[in-house]
Amino acid sequence: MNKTNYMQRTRDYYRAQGFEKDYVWAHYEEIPFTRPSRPLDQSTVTIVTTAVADPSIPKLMREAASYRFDEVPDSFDTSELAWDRETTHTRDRQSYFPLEILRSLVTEGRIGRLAERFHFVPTDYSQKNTLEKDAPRILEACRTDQVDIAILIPL
Amino acid sequence: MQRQSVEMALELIESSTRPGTTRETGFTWLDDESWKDNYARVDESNRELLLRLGEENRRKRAEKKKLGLTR
Repeated sequence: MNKTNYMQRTRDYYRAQGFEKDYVWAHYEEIPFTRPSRPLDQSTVTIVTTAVADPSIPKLMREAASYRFDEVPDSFDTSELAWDRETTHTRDRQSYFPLEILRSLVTEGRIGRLAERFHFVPTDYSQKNTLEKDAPRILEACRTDQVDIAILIPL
Repeated sequence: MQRQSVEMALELIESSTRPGTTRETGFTWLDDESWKDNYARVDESNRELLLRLGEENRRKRAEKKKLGLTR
């Protein structure tokens, strides 16, 4: 399998669009790590998605937000996200938001339960916004909901 | 495939003992890998278009900023 040289190609792509400063990917010299505090079959699980649940908010104004799992839209807005429009589509919600799969894993006893809410995090070029505003907001919501495991599925 | 992906993610959470652990699913998008060439493609056929799109993007963002439509 050929690997795609994602970072270099992304840099070249933005340069070709006339952006003068290369994008700097967020990274940690030391990555925080913790083992799950309880077994999967006793854990509360949620999803963090970049798919847009409320497209009425203009793109540049979007902030992290939490929504109830029983109010998941039939389809999210993915029109302003970067994905390969020639090769695929996002009409199958389950391909990026596996709600039905998680529900069946709860029924089968593989995971404890689904949290009350899932979380939206905007695709934002500002690492400051992501690190200082969005991530802490989602962390707080997860703690309120007693979440053990958050699965991040970027689109 | 979607179910297997979720199960593999959960297994990874269960079994990881250090940060940065990744696992490839082994799933391939298509047998034909030519789609990979399209990712962020820059060549003579789209160079002018990309520059124009970039300028348009910067103009629109500046306008929205002016209107206070930013965070």
